[in-house]
Amino acid sequence: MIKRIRGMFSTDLSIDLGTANTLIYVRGRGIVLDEPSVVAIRHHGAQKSVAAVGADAKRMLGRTPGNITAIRPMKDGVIADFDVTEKMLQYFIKKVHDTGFFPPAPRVLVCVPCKSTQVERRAIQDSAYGAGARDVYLIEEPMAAAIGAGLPVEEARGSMVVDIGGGTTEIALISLNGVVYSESVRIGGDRFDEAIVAFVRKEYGSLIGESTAERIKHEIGTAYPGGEIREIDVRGRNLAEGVPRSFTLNSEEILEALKEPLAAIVNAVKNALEASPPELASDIAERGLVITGGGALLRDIDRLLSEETGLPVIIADDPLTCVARGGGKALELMDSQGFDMLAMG
Amino acid sequence: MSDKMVVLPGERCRKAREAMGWTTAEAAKRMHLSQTYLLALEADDYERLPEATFVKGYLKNYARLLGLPADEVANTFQQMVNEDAFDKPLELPSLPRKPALLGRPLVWVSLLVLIGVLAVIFWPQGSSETGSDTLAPVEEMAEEPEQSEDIEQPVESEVGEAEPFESAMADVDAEPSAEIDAGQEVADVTDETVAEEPAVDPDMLASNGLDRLVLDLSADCWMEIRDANGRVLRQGVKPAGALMRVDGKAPFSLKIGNAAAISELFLNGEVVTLPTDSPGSVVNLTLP
Repeated sequence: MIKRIRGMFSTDLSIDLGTANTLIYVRGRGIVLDEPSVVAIRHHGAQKSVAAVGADAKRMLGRTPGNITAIRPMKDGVIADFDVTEKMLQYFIKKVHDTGFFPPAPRVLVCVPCKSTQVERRAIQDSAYGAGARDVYLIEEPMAAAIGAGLPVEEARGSMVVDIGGGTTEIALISLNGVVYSESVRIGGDRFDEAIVAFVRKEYGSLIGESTAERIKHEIGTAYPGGEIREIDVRGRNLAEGVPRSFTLNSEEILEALKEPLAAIVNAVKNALEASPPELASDIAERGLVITGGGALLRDIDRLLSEETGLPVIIADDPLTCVARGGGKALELMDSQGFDMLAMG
Repeated sequence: MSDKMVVLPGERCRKAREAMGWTTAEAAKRMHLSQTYLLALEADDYERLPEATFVKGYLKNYARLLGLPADEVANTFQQMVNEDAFDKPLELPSLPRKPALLGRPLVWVSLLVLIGVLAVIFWPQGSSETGSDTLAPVEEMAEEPEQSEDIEQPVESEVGEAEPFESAMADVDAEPSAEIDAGQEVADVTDETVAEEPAVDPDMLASNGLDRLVLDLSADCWMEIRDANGRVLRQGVKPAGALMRVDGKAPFSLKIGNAAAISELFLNGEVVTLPTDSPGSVVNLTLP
């Protein structure tokens, strides 16, 4: 009862609880929060307290003293640390409700990877309840991404969406508000970073952190050869000498580094196309597939997929926020039309 | 808005393609797009193309292929879409309206609920101190000014009507269940309508072989009253301030959930004192 009354003063939220970033979309206000899914925990002996959440915590990642650990509670799109995820959600939900009079009790729609298990989904649901949500709905990520990208999901027409997130790449074939086929590979932005770290270590004998790898990826990363060649100066610890050294990387090298994870994504897309029913496959061949998620920002990734599959490939508008926006739209549709595409209650 | 000034995105692409000396088939192949779509794209004929999301994506890709500023071309298209609003899927029709409609009643409903909650919170505090004392006068005040004298008469006449009926039933004595019903009906009628003073003289009841219990409650109280034959005359939680009359054959067996709730108890007009009146104590009593 109390929760319901508090709910009147809370807004409906759509949360894209991602491995790398958490986004919150509020109906009528758009994206209100976009922060890294990182929590810094301070230890006082046996006691723990939250030192920072989000962008502040991310700056601490890999730079913490002994009594602080900065952790990413999500791994591969699912919860790796339940309590910390709950704390993080609590913080984010509170942050977007700055009314302060009642503790917020919003209705929350959370996106889950389509290949996540019941246990993983339950964990996400429970942590959202634990963070103060009144009702929690779950929606499969590619479905939210497709709605957010503006695909005609409700039509009897196949749409394929490739959502390259931080932890997973979700590929789904959608028709009539339902997922016809889905494929999820645990490869995403994080794996790109790891691949770059491994490449630099192998080729330059230097160790760089994941934040540096991410910066390299953002600035010069590319998925398809033939583009403009860019360079970046980075500093890493030379393994042989043990001292920090500066060196220059170019986009060709990064392309080489990313070859393996990219090949896995291409493979998954091809598998999905192979498994498509012929009618839907022809729809996709005609109109093409859509890339969403942070991975869509990797230069020329659409060209890579287009050349590999021989299909038109387009990048959705504002690919980073597609899932959160789509979730918000799904919530609206649910209210207005009794829209039934939510995976489970 | 000055459509003539703006170069349509498809046209711009077509000019760039022609400048590069590509045929449409060649461009379509490079784009992995069907030639029909490409031609429609160049002709800016969006009716023949899929949803705006796709068109925008195609334009971006095409512009990039041709070395045009992709975002600029896509933005021109976006502006056209926003102006013409020809393409529904982009804005998901009727969606922006619904929340607005939904939002306002919600605020009102929440306000009403809040008022209701405040009322519930503060009501018992005000009334519990004065309890039945305040409630009874209010009822009297409401009725008395107009028909304070009239009220006695209908009551008596009602009881008077009921009694002959009762006695007739007793005389017939055919169905015991009917007797109970009649007895309860009488009691219900009296409960609701009788004013403060017990106006019916006990002798009349005695002549019918019935006894009367009168209970005055100062607080909500659960009770069970049975007559000599063990039939249940009253059972359940009775509200504070109720003046209850129970007619039946003595001895009555009473089970009262909260002794303190009984402010007065009469049997055939005589005061009966309860063995205890401590709050919350249960009383089992047989009268007389």
